[in-house]
Amino acid sequence: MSQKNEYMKKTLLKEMGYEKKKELLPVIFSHTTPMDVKKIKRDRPFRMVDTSIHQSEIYCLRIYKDGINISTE
Amino acid sequence: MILILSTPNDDDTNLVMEHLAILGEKCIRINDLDLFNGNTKMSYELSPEPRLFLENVFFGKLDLSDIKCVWYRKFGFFDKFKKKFRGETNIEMLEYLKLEYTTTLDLFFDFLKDKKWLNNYVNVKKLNKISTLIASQKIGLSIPKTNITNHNDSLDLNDSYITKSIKDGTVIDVGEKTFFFLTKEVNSKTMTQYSHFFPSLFQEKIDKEYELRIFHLNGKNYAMAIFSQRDTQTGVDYRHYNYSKPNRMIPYSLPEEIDEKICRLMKDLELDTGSLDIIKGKDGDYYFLEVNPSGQFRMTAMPCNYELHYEVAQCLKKMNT
Repeated sequence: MSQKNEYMKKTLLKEMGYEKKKELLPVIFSHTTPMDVKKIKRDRPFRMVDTSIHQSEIYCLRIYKDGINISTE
Repeated sequence: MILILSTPNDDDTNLVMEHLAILGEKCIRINDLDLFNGNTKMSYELSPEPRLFLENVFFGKLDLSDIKCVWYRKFGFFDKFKKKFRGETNIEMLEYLKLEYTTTLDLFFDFLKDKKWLNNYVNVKKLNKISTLIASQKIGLSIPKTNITNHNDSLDLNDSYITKSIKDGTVIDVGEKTFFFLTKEVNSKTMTQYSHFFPSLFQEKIDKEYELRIFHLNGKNYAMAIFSQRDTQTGVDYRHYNYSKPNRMIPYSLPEEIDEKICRLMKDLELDTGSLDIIKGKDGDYYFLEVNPSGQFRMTAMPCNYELHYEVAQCLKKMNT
């Protein structure tokens, strides 16, 4: 396993340094490993915009380099 | 007028609002977070009688007494607000903020209690995983063997189990890392290192043929099969999404008996709408897992070509007449 994968596989229990207090936590703490949120966000083809029809900030697709606007607005 | 209690970036809300606009129905959206970041002004005047006013750039100033019906879509998740204090370790401060946050939102529920509701807040708030499992069992739906325990003695570690939160999952950030509390398969080797533990929920791991996600709206079920079982990433919980090779999702026709039982369950829980998770076991049985009244249904509507957002908009339109 690569060093990065080892890093990502460290459980929440270990990450928080509570291995000696594991009995005081639900077992899910020793079974949960981190998600690569940065990668998910990096790969997301979204940008944030405010739109009046939705009365809110929403996600919409990025405009791609070739000039084709595939936004959902 | 229709009021939607939602949260920023909820795409189901966006799509229903687009339909409402086409149907010519006026609606107001309040995002939970916007009340705390200053995007929406609120003013709750108690005297001479309680009046609640809201104002933002989208709908101007509004007296909430003018609201006729409320869609309780997704309102009150503290996690998004908590992110603004990422790294904060003062538990008392975070607990205080959470309580004040929840109590502020409760003011809205109380003020609007006599309106027509699509999912009444009282019924959503009293919902919990365990009582829902018991209710589903009572009406004859199968559920995985479930045990909430604080020791290994009541588990057979030769069997396969999953563990998940007794109440709701959450997200915990530690440094730069983010941990999601989804369903996890129990590692028997890890379990042998425990003499006892904080009470945790265990369920037998069902050998599944496929998973079902069912959107329920006012007595009608819209089912989708998710073929998550062959991908190790999604095998235990399809929400460990594999974006590079997504699970196949198709419309699904429920057996009449299961269809009826789901409707009965939703009626017993007094929920108008919600998303249910069910496993079709390799043994041929259907195992009910849980119902989420605020679950996203875009994921069911789009792959299956169900017009769920239009249906919700139509339902709100009827309630508004």
